[in-house]
Parts: sequence; C-alpha cells; structure tokens
Amino acid sequence: MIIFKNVSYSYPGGRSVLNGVSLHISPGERVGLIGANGAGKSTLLKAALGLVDADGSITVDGTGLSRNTLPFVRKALGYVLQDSDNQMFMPTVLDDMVFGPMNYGMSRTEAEALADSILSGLGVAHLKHRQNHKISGGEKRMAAIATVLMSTPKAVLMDEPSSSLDPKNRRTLIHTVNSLPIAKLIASHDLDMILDTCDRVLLIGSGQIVADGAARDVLGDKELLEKNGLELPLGMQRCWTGKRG
Amino acid sequence: MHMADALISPAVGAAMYAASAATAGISIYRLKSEDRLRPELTSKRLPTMAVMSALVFAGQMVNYTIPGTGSSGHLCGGLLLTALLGPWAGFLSMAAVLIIQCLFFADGGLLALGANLWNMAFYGCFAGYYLIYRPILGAKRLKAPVKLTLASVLGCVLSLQLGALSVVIETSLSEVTELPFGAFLALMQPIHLAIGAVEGLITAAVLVFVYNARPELLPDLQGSESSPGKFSLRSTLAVLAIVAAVTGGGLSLIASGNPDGLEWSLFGNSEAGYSENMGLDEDAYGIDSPASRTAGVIQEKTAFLPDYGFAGGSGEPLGTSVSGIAGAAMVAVLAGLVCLCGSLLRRRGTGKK
Amino acid sequence: MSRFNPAGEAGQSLRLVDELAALDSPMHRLAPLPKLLLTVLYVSLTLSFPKYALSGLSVMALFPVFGYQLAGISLLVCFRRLRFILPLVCAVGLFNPFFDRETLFFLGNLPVSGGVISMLTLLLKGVFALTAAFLLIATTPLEGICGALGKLRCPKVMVSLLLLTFRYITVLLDEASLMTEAYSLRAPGQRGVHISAWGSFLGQLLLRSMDRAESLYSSMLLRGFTGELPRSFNSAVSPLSWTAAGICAALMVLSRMYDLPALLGKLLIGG
Repeated sequence: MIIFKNVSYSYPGGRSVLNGVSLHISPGERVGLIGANGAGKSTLLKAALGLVDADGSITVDGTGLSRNTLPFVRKALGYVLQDSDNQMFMPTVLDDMVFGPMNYGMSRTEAEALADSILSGLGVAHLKHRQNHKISGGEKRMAAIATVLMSTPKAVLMDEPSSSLDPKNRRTLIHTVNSLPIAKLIASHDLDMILDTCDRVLLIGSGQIVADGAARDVLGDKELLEKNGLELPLGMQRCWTGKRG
Repeated sequence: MHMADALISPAVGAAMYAASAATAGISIYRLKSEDRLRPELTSKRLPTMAVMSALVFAGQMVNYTIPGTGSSGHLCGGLLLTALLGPWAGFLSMAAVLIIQCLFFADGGLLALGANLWNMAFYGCFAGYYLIYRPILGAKRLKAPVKLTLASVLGCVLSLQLGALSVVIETSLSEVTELPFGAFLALMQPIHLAIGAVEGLITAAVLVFVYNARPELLPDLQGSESSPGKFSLRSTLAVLAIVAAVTGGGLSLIASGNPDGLEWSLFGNSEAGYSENMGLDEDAYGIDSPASRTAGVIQEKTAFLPDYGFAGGSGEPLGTSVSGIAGAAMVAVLAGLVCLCGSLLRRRGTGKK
Repeated sequence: MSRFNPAGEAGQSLRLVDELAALDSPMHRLAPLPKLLLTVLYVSLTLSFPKYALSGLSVMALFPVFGYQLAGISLLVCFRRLRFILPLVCAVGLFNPFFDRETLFFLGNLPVSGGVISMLTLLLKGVFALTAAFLLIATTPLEGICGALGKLRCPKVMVSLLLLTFRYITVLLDEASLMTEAYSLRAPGQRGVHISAWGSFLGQLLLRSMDRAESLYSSMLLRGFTGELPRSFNSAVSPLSWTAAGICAALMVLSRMYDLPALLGKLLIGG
C-alpha cells in the first residue's frame, strides 16, 4: 500500500529530518508511528502525501509519487491533521465534507448523500449542519475524520489524533479508528492508544527507523523506548510489573 | 479612525465605495496576472491571506501600553499586512478585516465601509508602502532593523495623516458638522500624528521580530538585499498617478453630484436658502459597481423630492415646528408600544413552552 | 489581576452574534440578498435626511424597532455596541450647537437653535444606522451574506477570503485571548503589553499563524483545492422574501418622502 525506499528529507535550512527511511505497509495494516518530539514522524507522513519534497522513492497504491501522480496519491490517502481547526476551513461541517469530493468532480447531491452515510457511520449525524467554529474539540476531531473519509481513501494517515481529547472522546476515537477497515498509519505520543489501535509499530529516532515490529514487542521494550525519549505505555507497565511480581 | 455611517452622506459614501471597489478590482486583477506568471502561488495565497487577516483582526484587539502615558495604543495593520503580503494582497486582506469588523463589531457602518476601506486600507497598503516603506527598505547603507523601524514609523505616520485628512474631507463634504474645515483639521491631524507614531512603532517591533526569526517572510527586504535598488521610480509614479486619478475622480463625482451643496457652502446661507439644498443630489451617478448601483437607484428614487420636509411652503420650517415634535413624540410612543407588545408576546411564548 | 482582555471580549461578542443568527424567526427567514439590499436602502435613506429634519427622521426608528421585535432580539443587545461608534459621532456633533446658534423655533419660551437639532439628527442617524446593520448580521449568518455578495457579482476571491478569514478569526481571537491572559497573569497591574514585548507578543502569534496557514494550505491541497472555494450557498431567493422586502422598501421610501410625524402632529394639534 505505502512503500518508502531510502527516503530522505532536509529542511531548506539544511537540518536533516529523514535519513534513509525504508518501510512497507500492506493494505489493511494498522501501523503506529512513535518517536520523540522532532524525530520526524510528521515529516514522514507529509512525505507520503507529497507535502514535502523528499528524496528517494515513495510508492502509494502501486503508483510512484511524482508531480503528475499527486492528485491520485492524495485521493488514495486520507490525512487527519494534528489541529482540526486547520483541517476544517469551511463554515459548516457539511461544507467541509463536500469540499474534497466536489473538487474531484462529484456533484453536490451525491457528495451530500455520501456525507450523510459517513456521518451516521461514525455516529455523529447531528454534526452535519453545525458550524466548525462552534463545535467542541472532540466533535471537531470526529468531523475531521469524517472529512477525510469522504474521498474513500485506501489508507488513512493520522497525526496525533488523540491529542487534547478527554478520556471519553479518546475512547470513541479508538473505537472509530478500529472500525475503519482500511490501512492506517498513526503518528502519536499516546502509546496506550497505539497499543489499542495498532498491530505493528515503527519507532523512529533521528530520522531513521530504529525498530519495526509487533506492537506488544516494541511497546513492551522499556530500554528501547527510554533510549528514544519515550516511556512504557501504562497498559504495558501493568503487565511488566505484574510479570515481575 | 473608523467613520460611522452618521458622518457620511449617501453621495460621499457611494463615491468612496466606488473608489475602494475600483482599488479592490485592480488588486484582484494584479494578483491574477501575477498568478499567471507563477501558478504555484495561486492556491497558496488564499489561505495565507485569510490567516493573516485573522491575525491582524486579533492583533487589533491587543492593548499596547505606551510607556510613560498610562494609555494604550493599538494596531491598525495595513502596513503590516502589506509588508508581509505585498500591496495588492495586503489591500484585499485589510478589506476582509474591515468588512467583518463593519458587520460584526459595528466599527464603521455599511454605508461608510467604502470610506473606511479607503481611509484605512488604501493609504496604509499603497501610499505608506510605495512612498515610504519600499524606498527605505531599498536603501543600501542601513541595517535591516533600522530600515524596518524607519520605514514602519514613517509609513504609518504618513498613512494615518492621509487617512485623517480623508475623514475630515469626507465629513465636511457630507455636511453633517458645523465645525469649520480648518478647525476640524487642526483637531484630527495632531491626534493622528501620535496614533500613527505608536502604530508605526508596534508595526516596527513586530517586523523586526519577524526579521530576526524568519527573514524570508519579508519579501521586500530579501529583494533589496539580493539586488539593491529594485525599487523603481516608474512604479511609484504609476501608483501616484492612480491615487491622483482615483482621488480626483472621486472628488469630482462628489462635486458634480452635489452642486447645490457646494454652492451653499460657497455662497453662505441666507434665511430661505438655509433650510433648502441640504438634501439629495439631482444627478444619478455614472459609477458602475453593485454598491454604487444600489445607491444610485436610491438617489434616482428620491431625487425628485429635493425640498423634502419643507413642502409646507410658507417659509416656516414645518418639519421642525411644534407639530413635528408632537408627531415625533407619537412615533416614540408607538415604538415603545411595539417593544412592549413584542416582549409580552415573547414572555407568553416562553411561558407556554 | 487585570481583567482587561479585548480579544476575549471580541471572541465572546462574535459568538453572541453567531448564536443570535442561528435563531429562527420571520426576520431570520427573509433571504439574505433582499435583507442586505433592504438594510442598505434603509441606511441610505436614513442618512439622506436633511440635517434639521428631526421629525421626519424619527419615523425611521420604527423599522428597526419592528425588525427587532420580529426577530425576537432585544434592542439592548445592540445598544451595547453603540459605545464603539458614538464617540466620534458625538465629538463631531457636539460642535454643532456652538457653531450654529440661529434659532429655528421656540419650544414654549425656550429658543431651539439649529445646531441642537442638527446634533440630535446626527446622533439619531448614527444610532439608526447601527441598529439596522446589527439587525442584518444578527439575523443572517455570514455564509448567507457571502452568498448574497456572490449574487451581487462580488468577485469570488473576495467572497472566499471573507469566509476563510471569518473561520480563522475565532481561532486567532482565542489564541490572542489566551496569550493576553497568560501575559496579564505574569504582569499584574499592567493594562497592556509592555513595550519590551511589543514585537514578540504579536510576532510569536504571527509566526505561529504562518505555520497554521501552511498547514491549512496542505489540508486544502490534499482535498484537491485549486484556488477558489466552491460556491455552495446558492439557494434561490423565494418570491415571498422579495415581496416582503419590496413592501418594506416601499414603506421606507414613503417615510422618506413625506414627513409623516409632522403630518400626524398637524392632524392632532390641528395646526
């Protein structure tokens, strides 16, 4: 689904963020992307979308990423931004949802029908006509996910989806993410959420993939995590101390 | 500096609408032709302009303590937007700020919007920018922070002086005040000298901060350093010509549309003529914009009643006589009754629920 | 602690207007385009009254008063906004009684000068224009007004810019308000930002906003944005709206043409 071969990227100033990253994500796979602040998680996501001009080869859904294939790649991938306010720029949730499909040539009626089915699928049909600047943080995140699903992506990339959500909204989010049948690449510091939503975890440190393995293995490796500026998720801590005692 | 609707007559308001709409039209045209040369800029411009407009809107709500005075200064933002976005995009962004302010915060009014756009956005984005900001940034000898400070302070002072002058001219032409032109001017200009200096210092502080953190955000500085002397006399003259033409055009429109008003102010006020001639203009305007068209229609509709309010004829100003006051009192009572009924009905409505 | 936070206040008053605009009433249901035109007509007619036409002008009060009652909105909400615009109007108007002292008529034994009348006229015009403009925005969401502007052939770029700007104003006002609070907590007793922080206060926000613009831009790009927002508010204006607006417009023009209060007064007094 998403294949990176030796991908590197440096900021225009010269600071290098990605340093020869290679990875392979299969259709339907649920992958967590973890790493300390500034490790390059967001940049990796942006590289896959062609938002930053990275060196190396990136293939999405069988198509190599280049200037000409950008529309195809961007339609195949959904991207949930860290700040939903930046994602939801239209006046109302519905306007926002139909924005993408209409740009890709769908009629407004069709797009609205699709929006209805997606909103009710996510259980947030009441948000349809709400104004984006008046809905709460949790609702905004759900609406942002709904917006992204409108282009029926084959994989969805999420940047810190659980940040600033209260426990209940966070649980709803985890439930929603788990109910999506498509491939997922979730960048987050919320390791417990990663544990709950992902089967595989990539640990990124100073622009390179440091570890790649089953979620329980990577997230249970205290030493590895601490070396990379992270800590054991609470869920694993209990297991760990439990084993000891 | 926001002018209220009450300070402006429909004729002056329409003329200023036309001037501002023309400037906005030229700005949009200029941006589109720039985009043709660099298509990758097109789609990025809109989000940047919108967020910067919102920033200026929020920035205007911040109080800046002026040292040693205890009072606080504010940002207007025209020059700041222009420094970051260029004059054309800057004008449109500033227009967005002023339109939303006019609608949501009652800063200025619907009819005065054109005048406010002109007084605040036009001078800051074009006069301050082309006459002061860009030439100073093009200077080779000075260090960037010094240039930025000088350019911002002088640019803001100039644009606010011009803005204040416009307020005085527009208000005087609207004939709502008895304050003599000279006295009004003497009141407004010094106040706005101080306001302009403070705004200039705030703008300078922000721009210097931006320069230290992300100099690439200040395109004019970049240009001047890589190829000094990029500033051309030609473009300045061109803009000056536009300013002159539009201002002249606006003024002559007002003058031609309101001849009796000007006449009146020229030939004094004899008893009989005093109460006449205050009102509407006899001519419809040839300006073509949606706003002016609406205003023009209104003018036509009302123009056939020039001597409104004094139709009683005998020379006694009927409109303001005792019977007029009695009638006005009746209207006030009626208005009060409407309010009372409305609130009673509403209370019953909520009571039922 | 200083509670002086204009950004927060502005955010609140924006939300208030938003909530009002989300209500439902005959006034809210009047389509945006006729409502906008009607408001412009009202303001233009009000401002076109001659400076001594106090009695004729007074009848114009009825339109906003009816409008507010119809919309179910209290006039008091609007009057609180007058503090923003009245200072300059007052400053200009207050000079009139000094410069124009000619007696127009006697109220009993009290001579009333032209300046007093023209000052009152000026103030009333300011109040009326404001109440009308506020009624428009309090009963119409910005999307509606933008749709109306689009129908008036306002360039698409400008309409898109207005919508996007409004969307981010609430976000940035919140940020500025939080920054102001954080600042005032650490600088008790100051009523504004100290000169040493003039540049960095707004500068920080500016840099963050530039990043936000970048991020917003990516979000738009990812969804196939090509330079303009689609126009999705093109709902047709119902004939009923046009009729209602037409009747109101006719009444307004009528009130402008004839000094109805004076006629009424004449009838009453028999003068």
